[in-house]
Amino acid sequence: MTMRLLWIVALAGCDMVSDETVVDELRVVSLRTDAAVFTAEAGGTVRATVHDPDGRPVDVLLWTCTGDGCAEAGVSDAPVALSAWTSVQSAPDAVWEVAPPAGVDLAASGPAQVWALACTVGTCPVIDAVRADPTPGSDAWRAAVDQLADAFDTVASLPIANTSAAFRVVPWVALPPGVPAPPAPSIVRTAPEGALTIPSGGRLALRVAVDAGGEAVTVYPSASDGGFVEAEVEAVDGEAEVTLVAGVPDDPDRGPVAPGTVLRLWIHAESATRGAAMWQEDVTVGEP
Amino acid sequence: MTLLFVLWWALAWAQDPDVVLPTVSYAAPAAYPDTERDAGVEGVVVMEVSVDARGRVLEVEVVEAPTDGLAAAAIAAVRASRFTPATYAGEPVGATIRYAVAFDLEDPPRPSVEGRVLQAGVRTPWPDVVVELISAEGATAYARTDAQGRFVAYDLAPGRWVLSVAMPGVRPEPVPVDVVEDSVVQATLYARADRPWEDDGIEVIEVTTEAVRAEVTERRLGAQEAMSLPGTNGDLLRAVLNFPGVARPPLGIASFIIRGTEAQSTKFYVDGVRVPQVFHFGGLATVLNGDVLEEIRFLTGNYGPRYGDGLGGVIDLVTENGVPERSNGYVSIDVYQAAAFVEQKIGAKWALTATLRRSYADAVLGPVLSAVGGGSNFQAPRYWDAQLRLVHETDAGGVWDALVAFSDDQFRLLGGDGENVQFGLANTFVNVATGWRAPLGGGWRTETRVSVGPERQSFTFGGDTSFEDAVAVGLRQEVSRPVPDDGRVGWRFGLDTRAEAFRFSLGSPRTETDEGEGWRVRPAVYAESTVRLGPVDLVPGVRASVLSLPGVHTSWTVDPRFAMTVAAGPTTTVIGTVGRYSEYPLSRELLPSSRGVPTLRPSWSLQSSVGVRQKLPADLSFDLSVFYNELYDLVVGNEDRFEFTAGPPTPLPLDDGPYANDGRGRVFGGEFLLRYDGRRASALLSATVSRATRTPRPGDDPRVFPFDQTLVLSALATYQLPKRWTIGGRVRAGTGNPYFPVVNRVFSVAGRQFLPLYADEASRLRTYWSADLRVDKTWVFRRWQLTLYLDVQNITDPGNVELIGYTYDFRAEDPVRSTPPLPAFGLKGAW
Repeated sequence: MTMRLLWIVALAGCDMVSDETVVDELRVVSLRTDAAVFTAEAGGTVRATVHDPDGRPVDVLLWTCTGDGCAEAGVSDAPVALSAWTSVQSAPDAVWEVAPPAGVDLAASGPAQVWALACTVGTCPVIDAVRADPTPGSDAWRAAVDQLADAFDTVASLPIANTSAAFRVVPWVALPPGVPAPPAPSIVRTAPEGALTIPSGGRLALRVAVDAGGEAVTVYPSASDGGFVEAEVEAVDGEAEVTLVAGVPDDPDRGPVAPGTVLRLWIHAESATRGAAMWQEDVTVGEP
Repeated sequence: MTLLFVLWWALAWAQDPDVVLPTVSYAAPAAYPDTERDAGVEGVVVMEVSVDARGRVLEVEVVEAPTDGLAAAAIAAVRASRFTPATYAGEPVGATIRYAVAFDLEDPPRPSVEGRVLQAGVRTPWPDVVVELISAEGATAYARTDAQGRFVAYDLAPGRWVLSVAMPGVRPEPVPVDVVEDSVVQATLYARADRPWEDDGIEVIEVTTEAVRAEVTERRLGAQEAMSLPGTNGDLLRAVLNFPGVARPPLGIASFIIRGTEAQSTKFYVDGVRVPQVFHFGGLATVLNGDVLEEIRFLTGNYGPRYGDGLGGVIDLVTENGVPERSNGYVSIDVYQAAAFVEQKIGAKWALTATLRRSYADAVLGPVLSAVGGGSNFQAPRYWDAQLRLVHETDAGGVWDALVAFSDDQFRLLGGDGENVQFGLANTFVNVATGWRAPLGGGWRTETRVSVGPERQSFTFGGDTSFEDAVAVGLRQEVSRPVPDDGRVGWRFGLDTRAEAFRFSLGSPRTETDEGEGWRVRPAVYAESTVRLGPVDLVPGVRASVLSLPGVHTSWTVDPRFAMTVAAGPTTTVIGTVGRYSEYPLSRELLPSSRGVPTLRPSWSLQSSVGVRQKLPADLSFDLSVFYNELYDLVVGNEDRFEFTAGPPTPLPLDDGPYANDGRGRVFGGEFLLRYDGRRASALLSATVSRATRTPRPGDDPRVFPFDQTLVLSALATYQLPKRWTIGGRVRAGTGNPYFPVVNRVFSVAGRQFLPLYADEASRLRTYWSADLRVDKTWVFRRWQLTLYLDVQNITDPGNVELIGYTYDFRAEDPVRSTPPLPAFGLKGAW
């Protein structure tokens, strides 16, 4: 074991500063569902938040797979449900109502994989194919579904630049009539009050309250520039404080964020069983 | 006249008028042996003495002597005498003359000065040197030292005499004495040679690959020599990395990837007993002080049945076999560590050795890293080790020893509060071993060794601690008899057992924890015979072993092995080997509590090789071999279980299926070693050409082994300069390791991590090359010596890429490059 651990030491020492809270490329920032589970009766709602710092038109494709996962499933015995959506930067979240797949024993199929693929327009042929003929059952649709059933291979075939893919696992459950699915967590900002501003090169402490039905939650902040001091923070008693920095003085490639810039902030909250929530808001950068 | 010196005649051309025979410029008196004097034996010893063109006595052959005792005394006298060389046509030439020494009891010689000549600094006896004695009146006398460095000068006139060593390249260091009639003056001379390669026989690289031996694939490297090689930073085992068959490990870590097998398949032994750890931090430095050791035995594969439970190579560290000639010790410091070593003789048959070493990188690096670490409190890597060894030589020729070894490594990254461990490594072990080697009579020898001790390796990350604990007992009992001079058959029988109580818990914030505990017992017996048929040695052998984890798993192996050597000429040996080799699964791979599969079988390989060893003129020799190995039943699966602790950024997709004996492998290649072992210079050139592939699961295409290196070259040389300067260098080059580039990635939202997606085809890191330099300077004082060395690794820093790392989101490659040149100074004061 020692030999292997030594690699970690060597490599950890090479990159002690993480910049993973900065969304500086096209990225699926958050992928979540309105409820903690998909119900066999009504399905569920998927929401994806996508950001492109260059503001280019972006295609977002959402789909799900049942069974052990998209990679192994064929179209015939593990239906793939998909929905095409086109957005531009700063557009509202991609939202997709997932219907229960027909003819599938959901209790035996295991949880669903929910996928989101974001590409700048014209980058991903599979999205173009879906957009050209989105009719379920059509040849184009079937070819696309067949391709998306092996999601990892599909993503591997796309260029790494200008694409972003994300997934999460959501259980299918059968609930008694009239019993709603447990809601996903919610998250609100509690401090500071009012419109958010931050001095260029300065810091801003944000406090959020997360309601996850009493369950422990971890929040993951990110920003379109600058960055947060910590990449993840435990929510204690439903509250968490994160610190935004409008600039990274130690990084010559990323100096202070210029005054007048409007930063987009996201705080994604993740619970072990209740799913995820997201808060997003803009903050204006002022004079130093 | 006590003694009669007769110059009789020279051989062959003695009557030639152009020939002038050697003449005696100083005839050293011969000491009368006590035995002959007490027995009243007198007589004349006649010898043939070869005198070279510089007047030095080369050879002495006794023609006639009353007794052996008188013959020995006469030889000693003639070797202490001084000659003027013969000449032919006025030019000095060598000649052989007859020389006689008469022993007459009526007037025996009287010793005037007795003493020893010691090499300054190390204080070892200096045999066969001439001591010159000059009186105040200008008279001269000479004496020559015996094997213990002792000399006696006879019949000197009373008064002041000055003693010095009279040899070219040796500082005389004169010592005055006052000779008094009817008494003997004692004197000790400390002499030092400015050109040591000419006089004291220092060997720089001592690699032996004896032509015919039981372990036909074995290479040996002297411990002292290994530590002085360039590029090793004075570390013992790093020297082995220069040999063919060893892949170049990344980041300068001493990892032994031998003949295309995983590093964990190379097994380490101390005196034939398996040890789990021989490195601090898995590869920074050897845990045993090299001065406790006598040599390294290195076997790349196709070894005999003495070793087993491994598909890779074997490295056996052999402790010093016996009591040293003298007490000695040293204190050393360098940029990484400080060490002290004392070896104390206790009488003639006992010796106690104690050594202590501690690295102090933490004292310097810790505060520096903490200052720049953004609120973290670093405790940089530090290790220390200690050994205590007692050795006893018996009158019957046996050697008993007991060794206590301790090692402790620590590295911690604390949070800003200075208490919570964010990241940490800790390895500790204590090992107590005792051994017995002795002749049994009839050419048989016995060797027994027992070791016992606890060990612990732990790893802390983000509040989770993984650990592996064990208390292990090792036992080896072997009896052997080499092929007698007048016989045809040699034998070796042995028992090799290791038993351990273990406990482990392995996990990380991103994986579930695997836990297990129990007993693991692995006894093995082996037998080997050597049948000598003229120039051919046939060496069949077999090793049988059992692995038992009580209540969980039992498996067994029988591994037949065969080697043949043919002495194709006085300097040529051809070697062929074939054999079966097995390696048992790890405990965590077998225990259900850690997702193990109790029905796993041992992995095994079929290894074969053919080679030739050739001694060449001019101190050159080479060793060429080709090998072909097939690997079967390799354990694969669950690689994602240990993703966080499984080494460098995964160079290929992880196999997350359950454990199974599904893996296959194939390794083939050639190894070449050319050596020059001169007295003043030595050099080594090694080359390995190989191809290693793995087929992880049935139906998979074969893929290159992660450390497959098509070509590995290593060349090193050392050269002794006057004034005890030594300069050495090493150049290495090799094919880059393969890796599977990341072509895209997906984001696991709940796990908040990017998962890499790999290309189907492997790429390779670019070709590696590096140069190392080492310079040593030694100052010799009478009773001790001081050595200063500078060892600079990667002096040219060509920007080699050691590993491909990635940014956190796998968006871009983030190559891990070689460490920049770091001059490592060291000082060592030895006595």
